Amino acid sequence: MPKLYDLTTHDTSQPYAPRGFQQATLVLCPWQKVFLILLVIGLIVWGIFDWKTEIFVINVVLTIFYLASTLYRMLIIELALQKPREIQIEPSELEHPPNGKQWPKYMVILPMYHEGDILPHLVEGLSNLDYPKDRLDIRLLIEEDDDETMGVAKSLDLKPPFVIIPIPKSYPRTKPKACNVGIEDGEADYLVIYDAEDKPDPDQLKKAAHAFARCPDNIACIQGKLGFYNPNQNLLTKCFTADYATWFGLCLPGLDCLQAPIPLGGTSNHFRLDILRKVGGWDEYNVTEDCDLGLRLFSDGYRTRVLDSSTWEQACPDLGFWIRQRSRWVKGYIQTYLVHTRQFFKLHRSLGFWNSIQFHLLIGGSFFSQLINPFYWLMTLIWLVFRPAGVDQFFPAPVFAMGAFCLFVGNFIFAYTSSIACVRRGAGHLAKIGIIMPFYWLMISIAAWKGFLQLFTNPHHWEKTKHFANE
Amino acid sequence: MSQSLDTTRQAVAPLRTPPFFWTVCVIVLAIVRAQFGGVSNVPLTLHQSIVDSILAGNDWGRQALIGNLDSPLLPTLGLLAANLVSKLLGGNPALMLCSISQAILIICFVKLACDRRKWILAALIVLVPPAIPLIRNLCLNLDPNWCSAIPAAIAICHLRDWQETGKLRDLLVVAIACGLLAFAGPGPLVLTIAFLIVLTYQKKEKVGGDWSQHRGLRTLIWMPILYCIALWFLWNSLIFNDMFFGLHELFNRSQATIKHPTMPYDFHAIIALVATYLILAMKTTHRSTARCLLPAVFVIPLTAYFSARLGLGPAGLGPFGVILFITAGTLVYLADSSTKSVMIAVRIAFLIALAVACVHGNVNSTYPIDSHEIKHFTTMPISEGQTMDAPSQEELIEFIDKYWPNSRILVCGSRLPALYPDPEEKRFVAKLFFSEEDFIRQAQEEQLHILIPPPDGRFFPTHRSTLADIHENGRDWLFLEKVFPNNWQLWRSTIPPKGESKLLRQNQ
Repeated sequence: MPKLYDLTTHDTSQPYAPRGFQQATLVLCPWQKVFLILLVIGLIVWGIFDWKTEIFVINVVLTIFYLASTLYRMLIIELALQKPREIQIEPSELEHPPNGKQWPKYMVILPMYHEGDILPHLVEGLSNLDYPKDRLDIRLLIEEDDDETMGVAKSLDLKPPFVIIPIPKSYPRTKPKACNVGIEDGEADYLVIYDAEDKPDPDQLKKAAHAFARCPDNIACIQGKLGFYNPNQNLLTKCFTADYATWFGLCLPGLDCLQAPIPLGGTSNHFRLDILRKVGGWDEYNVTEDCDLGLRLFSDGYRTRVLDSSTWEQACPDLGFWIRQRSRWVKGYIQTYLVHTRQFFKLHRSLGFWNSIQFHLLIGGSFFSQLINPFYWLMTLIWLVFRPAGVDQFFPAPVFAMGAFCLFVGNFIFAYTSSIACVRRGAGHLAKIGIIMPFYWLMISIAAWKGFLQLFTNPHHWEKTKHFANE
Repeated sequence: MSQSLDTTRQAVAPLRTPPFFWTVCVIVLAIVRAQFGGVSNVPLTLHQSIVDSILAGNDWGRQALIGNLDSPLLPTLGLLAANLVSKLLGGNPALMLCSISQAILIICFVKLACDRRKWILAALIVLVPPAIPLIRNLCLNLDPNWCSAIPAAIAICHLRDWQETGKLRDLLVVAIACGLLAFAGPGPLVLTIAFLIVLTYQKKEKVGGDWSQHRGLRTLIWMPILYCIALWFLWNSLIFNDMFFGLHELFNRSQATIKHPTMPYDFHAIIALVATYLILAMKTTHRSTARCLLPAVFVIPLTAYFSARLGLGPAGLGPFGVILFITAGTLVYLADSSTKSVMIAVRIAFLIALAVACVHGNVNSTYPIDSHEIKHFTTMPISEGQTMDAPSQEELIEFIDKYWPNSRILVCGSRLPALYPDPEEKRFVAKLFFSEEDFIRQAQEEQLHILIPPPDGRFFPTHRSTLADIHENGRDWLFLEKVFPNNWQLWRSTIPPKGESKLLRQNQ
């Protein structure tokens, strides 16, 4: 097929923005490097001369950060609970196209790599989508050298709307690069991306088409909710389910309510295809390209909404693979934060004051808190068990009050929120899992540190999520 | 029947007024309420002395905040916040706290009425309570426990909303508000548990809500209160190195109860509400709410009685009684029934309860220890230490200054330090509990006296009490310096201090 749009050619003279927008080609830009080096040197020197004041000041700053994050999170949850913000489409509306004539043309892309074993199930699942087949263009994006998946795809003798798009072998070998290649040709009104193991609600495309028709033109993306079809497999999948339910059931609707920048979730992102191409598609160097795209859309003036329709995925049941997946997410969040803060003042001008605060709390705050949490937990544990003398000097009354609020109220609210999210998601039997969520957060912090360290050793390495055969 | 009634109720869409409007209403009502002033009382003195001690950074304040059954955590924190605000804005912190708490309570119910477009009910909620002597007297009592009325009122109003709309958020607010009540003292805790037990049972029967078919609601209902109880144990452990310090205190008190305690309020009126709630719980559209509150009608007088026998204060129970009254009135106004006679009966029952409240309006506003102490507490400003039977602060200081000018006097418990307030601990050292080891250790550092009240259960439990034993038998390292009238004893430590007195150091 002819290439209508170019989303892959790089301008090598622009190492930080090879395709016209800031990308994660390099981890740090020059000023960020200088700033971090000066910060580290400054902290060391300060520590040598007056370590007590230094620890005190750091503690005050971190406590205020914790308090702000906790209050912000509570605000988001409260807004989500006040009234449903997700776009609701009644089943009766789905009987007719939104414009009354014909359904808009929909492109579905499925990046795959070594997933031949689940491809037949995927094709079967997508065949069940309740959408006119002549208005669908389902693209299986298979790496050229992935003989296994390509072999299975060819053996299935796929007919339209299924199309196999071979992805040429080139670097970086990431999912977003495959997606960019996949949308360089073809015409459609909307596009959605699914993972190979996804099971979307059959009427999701129709709902999304209606949702787009209902929304103003600046709504570039509609995010479907993600859930897991194997929540009960083991303790990890239960916690993961509660975590996802919180994010997609409470946090995203709350952010939607605040009209804040929404970091997109990996799949079930429905786009207006023309806008997606206009903003340059995904950043192939970013390992959480969806999060980056959500922010880029926002800073370009586009908005994202949440649709009340679910896509069911597989919760990773293996701790090792889960940590890898989670470490990639954290690494990607850090990449995204660093990329978007390269042009610090421009970013803040485009976002405005309140949205900038939200950006820092949401993107910067989430990975930062995951990184520092273990230290504070350890400190709390030492304080509870050994009651060491001299700790008081680092916690004057106001700081102690803020810290105690975060410790005793904040942590409970977060755990309680997990239980609430499970009930709202229809997984009320998992509500008790809220009690053990702190242990899950500990694992998140372990993964966060893995991702953080990997950012400096192997920034573009894609820790692929392993999809286990259905049991 | 219930479904048809629910449908009728939901036919009128609830009125949604912006929160800002209600905030303004609370402020205005609080200002109006503050104009009427209030009466100081024992709970206020006790809470205020704890707050003063916390602000001065003393251990006793921290200990009394957590491990003291007389002054629950929530009102103390409320008073602490009011003290901090009053430092900025001026005014009496206790009056500020009570005015705001009462205003929030009233506005919660006014909002409930306004959301349903019941304007007359809203007006009645504002105007009628001050006209009832019992409620008026309770409201004029500047008891920091009014602070506990806020979560209680919020819980009841959101319970009503949840039972009508089935919105999960309302149920969560109920659960969190009930969780906070775990910090409102033993009485409110028992009430809340009774309330939640009925609510847990009720949710199974709930009709019309979106969430009733979902599992996990029981976890959501109980999680906050269980967490708060667990926190209380944790804090006991942190402060006293004994997770069950508070429970031990309760157990010790239960071993030596007061046989004929004086009840702090007239509970006739609350007991008179039984008929109203019973009828509401059986045959009306608001039976779900009434069923949840029905146990409270029995539990409040019972809890008050047993608290009195244990020598505990009636923390929060007075405000709960007021809430029960207002809720009953609101439900009677809003309720409907397919049987006309039921509505007539419930209205008559409520009017009788109102009449009883008008006749019996006595509020003792003190701890139900015995009539002697009530007289003492209500007639004398105890913050000055001028009491009928206890030696005054000045008397004690004058005495020890004659012979031991560098000595400080140890006062133990929660009530005794309130009689001899000294946040800076210049002459009186407050301890929540008496530990011989700690006393001996401290006596090696400085010259100490210890004041021991008569062992009659008023200031410390008599069962397994070291203080009672000292009062009776003394110790080798203590010398009885003086016995004041009514058997108050002042003992002096005979352990020679190693260093100089703290008093001397402070003076220097």
